[in-house]
Parts: sequence; C-alpha cells; structure tokens
Amino acid sequence: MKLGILFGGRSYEHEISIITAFQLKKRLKDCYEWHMIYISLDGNAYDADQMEINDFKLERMKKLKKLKLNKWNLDAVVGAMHGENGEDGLAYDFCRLNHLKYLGCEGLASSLGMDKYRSYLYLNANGIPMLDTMIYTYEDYLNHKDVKWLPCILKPIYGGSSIGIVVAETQEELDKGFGEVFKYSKEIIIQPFMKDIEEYNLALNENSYSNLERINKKDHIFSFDNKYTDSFKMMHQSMLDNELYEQFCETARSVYQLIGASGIIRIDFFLVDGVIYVNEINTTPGALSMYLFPEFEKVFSESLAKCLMKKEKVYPNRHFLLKNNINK
Amino acid sequence: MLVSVILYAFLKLYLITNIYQQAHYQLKMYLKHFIINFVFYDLFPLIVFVVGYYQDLLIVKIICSIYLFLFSLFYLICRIRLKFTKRCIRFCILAILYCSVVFIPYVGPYFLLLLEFSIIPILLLEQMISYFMNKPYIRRATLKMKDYHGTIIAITGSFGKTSVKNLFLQSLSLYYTVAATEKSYNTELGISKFINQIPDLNLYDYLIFEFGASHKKDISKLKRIVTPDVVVVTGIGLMHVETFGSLDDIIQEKMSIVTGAQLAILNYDCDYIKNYPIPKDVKVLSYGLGSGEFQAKNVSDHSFDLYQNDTNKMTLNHPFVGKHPVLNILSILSYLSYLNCDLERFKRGVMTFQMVEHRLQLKEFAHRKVLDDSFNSNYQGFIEALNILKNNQGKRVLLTPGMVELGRYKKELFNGLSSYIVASADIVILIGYHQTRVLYQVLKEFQKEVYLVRNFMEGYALYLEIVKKEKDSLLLIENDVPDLYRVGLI
Repeated sequence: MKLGILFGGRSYEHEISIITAFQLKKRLKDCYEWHMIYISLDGNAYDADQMEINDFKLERMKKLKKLKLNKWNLDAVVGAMHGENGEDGLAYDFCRLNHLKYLGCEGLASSLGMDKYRSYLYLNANGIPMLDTMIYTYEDYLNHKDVKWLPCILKPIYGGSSIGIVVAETQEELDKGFGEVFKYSKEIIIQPFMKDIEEYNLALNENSYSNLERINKKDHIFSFDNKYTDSFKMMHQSMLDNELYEQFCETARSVYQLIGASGIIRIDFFLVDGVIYVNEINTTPGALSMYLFPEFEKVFSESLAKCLMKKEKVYPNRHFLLKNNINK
Repeated sequence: MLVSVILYAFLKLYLITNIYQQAHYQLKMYLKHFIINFVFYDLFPLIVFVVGYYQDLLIVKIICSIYLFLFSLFYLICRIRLKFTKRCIRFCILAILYCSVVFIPYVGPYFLLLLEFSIIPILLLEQMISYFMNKPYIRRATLKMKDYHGTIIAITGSFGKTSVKNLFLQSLSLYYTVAATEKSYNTELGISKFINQIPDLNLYDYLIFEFGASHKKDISKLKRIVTPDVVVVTGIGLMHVETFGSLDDIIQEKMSIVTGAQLAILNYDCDYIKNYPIPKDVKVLSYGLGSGEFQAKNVSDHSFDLYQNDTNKMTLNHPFVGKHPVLNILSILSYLSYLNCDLERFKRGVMTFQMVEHRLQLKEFAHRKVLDDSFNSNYQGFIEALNILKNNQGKRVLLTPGMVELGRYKKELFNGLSSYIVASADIVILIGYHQTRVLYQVLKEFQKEVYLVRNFMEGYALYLEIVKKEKDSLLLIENDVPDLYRVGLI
C-alpha cells in the first residue's frame, strides 16, 4: 500500500514535524510504501523521498524535488504537520483538494483542537471538565485589562509543543511574560496556575486507547526543552488503579466524539485532587504518540482501515441548471 | 585545448558576473576589484593560452590545456554560488553576444577568452540597458506616490536605520495602520518595488521608508520618488567614506534629507547633526543620551527614565540589549509625544516588540550566549557590540571578518578598533586571511588568543570546540563582509 506523509509547514513546530515524519517512516518502514511530502517554511510543497533526517539538519535542501502527487497514486496521506498552517485543518484541506484520503482529523476537529479557547468554550459547555480559561488579546494587554488569577499560566492560543508557555507568579513576572507570549500570537489564553497538579497524556483512535503517560515535571511546566531534549518517564496503565484509567478513557472518548475526531489523537489531562480536567487536544500528536501504544502497528492499521473506508462524495451533475434554463 | 579554454572562459564569465553582482552593479566599485583580480589571476593564464595557441608543438599545447583546465577547477572550488537573477543572466548573454560579434572574425571559437579586454564597453552597455529598463518602473512608483495623502516618514543615517524603521513600524502600528519597506530595501529600485507591490497606498495612515545613501546625490534621487513629511536621522558616522570622498560630503548628503520636510527627528548625540544648520521652516525634535529635548537618564540594562526638557516623564522598560536601542526608542518616543499619543500604550507594547534578525540579537543557549550582530557593518555598531561583550562575566569570544570600506580614515579608525578589541575580547576568531592580516598582527602583538579561519562555519565550529566546558561564555558575531573583499583568500 502506498502512503504519503505530509510534514513540515509554516509553523513554529516545523522541525518537530520533520522528526515526527521520519520517526513514523522508520517505525512502519516494512508495512507500507512511503512517500514524503514536505511543505517548506515558505509554503511550497516538495517531494522529499530522497531526503534523510540528517539532510534537514545540514540544510541539504538540494535533494528536494518537484512534487509529483499524481504519479504516486497514493492510497492515503498521513498528516504529520504540527501547529498553525497544517494541524489546524490545512493539511486535511490540502489532501481534500488533491482528492486524497487523509488519515487524521478533518477540518472542524482539527481547528477545534488547535484553538485552545474555542475548544474550551465548546467542551466546557458540553460537560467536559476543564480548567478555567480566559482569553486575553493584544488589545486587552495594551489597555491594561485585569488578569483574574495570579499566579497564572499564559499560553499562545494556537501554540503546541509547549512553545511560548510562561508561568507568572508575581505582577512583574506577568508583565515580562506577556512580552514573551505575544511574540508567538496576538491572542493568548490565561489559566490559573496550580502547584500540585499532575499531568497525564492519553492517546486514542477510533477503537483503542494507549497507555497512560504521566509527565515528570522538572520545572513548573512541561517545557519545550523538557519534552524534546530530556528524557521523560512514562507511567504505565498498571501503575494506576483501573478505575481511574477507565475514567480517563471515558473522558477521552467523549471528547473524541464531541469534536468529531478521526485517526490518532492525544489528549492531555490534569489531575487535581482526584478530579480529571482536560487540558488540551492534540489532533496531530508528536510522533503520532507511537511510544504510548503497546502495539502501534495494529492501532495504525485500524485507523487506516477506517480512513480508507471513507468514500469521496460524488456530487450530482448540473442537470438542474440545464433543465430549468435559468438564463431565460 | 578548445575544451579547456571554453571551460575556462565560461567560468571566467561566471566569476566576473559574480563579482559584478557583489559590487551591487556599480561600475566604479567593480572596476577597482576587477583590476586586482586581473593582475592576480588572469594574466598568467592568458600568457599560457597565447603560448599554447601559437606553438605548434603538441606537448606544449597539452600542457597548456591541462594548466587551463586545472585553473578553471580552482575557480570552481573557491567561488560562492551565483544568485541567478534576471539582471545577471542579462549580463551574461550580453557579454557572450558582444564578444562573439567583435572577436569571432579574429580568433574564432576562442572569442570568450578575450572577454576581459572588452569588459568596459560591455559594462557600460549593461548599465545603459538596465537604466532604461528600470526607468518606467521607478516612474510608476513616483506617480503612485503623488496620489498618497497620508504621512510619509523617511529614515536615514549611517547606522541603525533598519532597527529604527522596525521600531517605528511596530510602535505606530499600536495606534495606526502602517506599512514599511521590507528588509533593507533602501535604494531607488527597492523603494519602487515596495511602492508598486502595494495595491492601494491610501489604505495606510503612515508609510515608512528607509533611505540608503552610499553615494553623492543618492538622497535627492530617492526624494524624487518619495517626498517625506517626517525625517529621522539616526546618526552620522564614517560609513561608505570610500564612495563619498570625505566626512563633509557624508554630512551634506545625509542632512540634505531635512530640506522640504515638516518635521525632523534628530539624534543630538551626534555633533555633526547638532551643528548642522537646519532650515527655519522645519520643526526639530531632538533626542539623545546627553543632549536634546528628549533625553534618557539612569540608563540600566533594560530600563531608563525619559526626560522631556529636563522634566521626568516616565520610566520605561524594554527588552533590548545595549545602548543603541535606547536611542532608537527615544526617537520614536519623541515622535509619539509630538503626536500626543497615549504613551502608556507604548509602554505596554514595547515589551512585545521583536528585534531585527542579526542585529544585536541575543540568543541564549544552555551554557552559552550568542550575540548575533552579523548584519552590522559600521564602526559605531561594532564598538557598541564590543562594549556589551566587555561586560560579560564568562569567556568573551569575538568572531569577525574585520572591517572594510573605511577609506581615507582607515588608519585612525583601525587603531581605535583594534584597541577596543584588545580590551573587550579574550579570544578572537578572524575570518579570511586577506583582509584581516593587519588586525591579526596587531592582536598577536598584544598576545591575544587569535585564530584564523576560512569561513564562518569553520569559525563557529572552532568556537564550539573552545568553549566546550566553559560556562557563561558569550560569542559576538560581528560584521558580515561581502565576498568581494575576500579576493585572494584560500
């Protein structure tokens, strides 16, 4: 079977996307025939079949070739784009325009997963427990609008991979933090910061759940450096009592259904005094969360089967116009 | 013989185009480097060719061919890649055409080899063609600007233009809709390009332009396209002395921007500006650290007090490093106060401003810091960056290819610079052997740790090697000299 990987893209997480794509290709090298579709930082699509991950490191971009989507006859495309201009639904639209099947979330689910504030509004209204969140725009910042909580945590509204997240405990830190966060996005969200908070990640697809991952916090937050440079520990399902794990799964499933997701997504949870809160949704998780699943190959093929079953809609011909002859 | 000659000739053409491009298509600058190049590289191959052409002995012919072939390979290795723009392709075609018409009757297939002897007519022809090709483009921009009703801001000076432009753009955007030229588009063509690509100029309340001046009458040429209402002069120093002639010429040229404007925002720290007679109908806003209407006092790392006519107006925090950003902020603050804008808004906004890439940009890594100032190419900026380097606690490393284009004041400036470097850096890594030769000797005299490398990447690798275990080291990357000046390296 011929599969494409769509990666890169115009976002802060461009490089992480490259890592994801190559990890995925490495893991499932024997199961499928892979073709790499690379979106460069300036937004052009290339054929990156000849590229290795080291070529990206050393900026040997000469090996990139003109894209030939039609020649490949791909059965489906796997989305490995993180962040804006990709994970927000653009990757899906790219495939839809090219009549390709896309393994991953469709437009609305992707957009909801991307936008931290709107997903909060939607999920909270539908009974999913979430931490209090307020939106804070650049205009609010310039006009000295009050922040409800202190200490608090500031996040860019579209960010992923913990880029640009700041924790502020005093007013001074808050002012400095704004300067940092607004570099990434003109809209940010603010949440109250809680100290004794445990963070868990759970990935799932249409049928199965992954192991539960507990994040080992070094700093206050699970920072970008923590995530991609240091190793972090994983807590397996058995280490939690079964009831809690089931609760996680249940919440995750209802989120999955509420946003209308498809493919593999990862949901980040907070656990505060035994109560589960949903933190954020990753519709294209890093490395597709392959490290969380005991049998990733099986999960992947499950989602792939679901994806291939979707049929492209056929739209009726313009008989209506011809019959009624509107021009007359 | 024929093959190696043709290879040689084409690479020669490639090289000439490359240098011409690096010289920004300016005749005078090009010819100067052409002569050096000619004497160093081309004389001998030509003699070899003549010998090979007129000798009937096969052995001599073969040896000559091999020599030329190897020499071409040498070119192939040591040159940076040419950026294929329309203009340089035009130049190549023109050169080939000209040579074929003029020389084919005499030397047949070897015509391209004589390229060097007809370089001047080709260049003149090229200059003429591009002049006529650019003219309608510039005309369109001029006409478009005539219909514009908003305020036009023009920024000039020997240094800090792009930073000030960037700051003006970000600050005024807090209050109005603003557009500014991208990157360092500051020539006639660059500005025309910017104007032509905007669909409707009147969408913007403010247009911000950067006026570059490296030759006499550059400013008046630009003023023919854009007539600024507000002008900012960031400072005058010894930039481009080589092309101007003298300091007086520079001052006259840069300050000629003031005539015809309504408001001039001037850096009074610079005596050349302060003492210049400003026309009476121009209102002046002056700023500076030591003099002027708007002054910064109690300057510390990330904050200063703003004084207007010696009364304290506010304390301001900012995220930038160094002294120059303070001056830049003062220039925009004076204008905002003149416009009666809400300064509180600016105070909040300035914390979110982003620095221009490669201009005193501080990047922090786990155990080391890098101060990237590679776009800077002027003396004052160099000194400023060295001052920051001097105050670092850990190891202080400087990576630089030195300074060029100092012209007649070369000696004085050079001495000043080298003493500054001696005082503020522990380790110096110099890029390129040719233009850093003198600096190398001076630093060796002071028993500094000096290294010579061929290119930037090599230098950076060396730096990583040196500071492997050190904590809090600071690397200053200063000045990126165009390849043109490295003729003679490797």
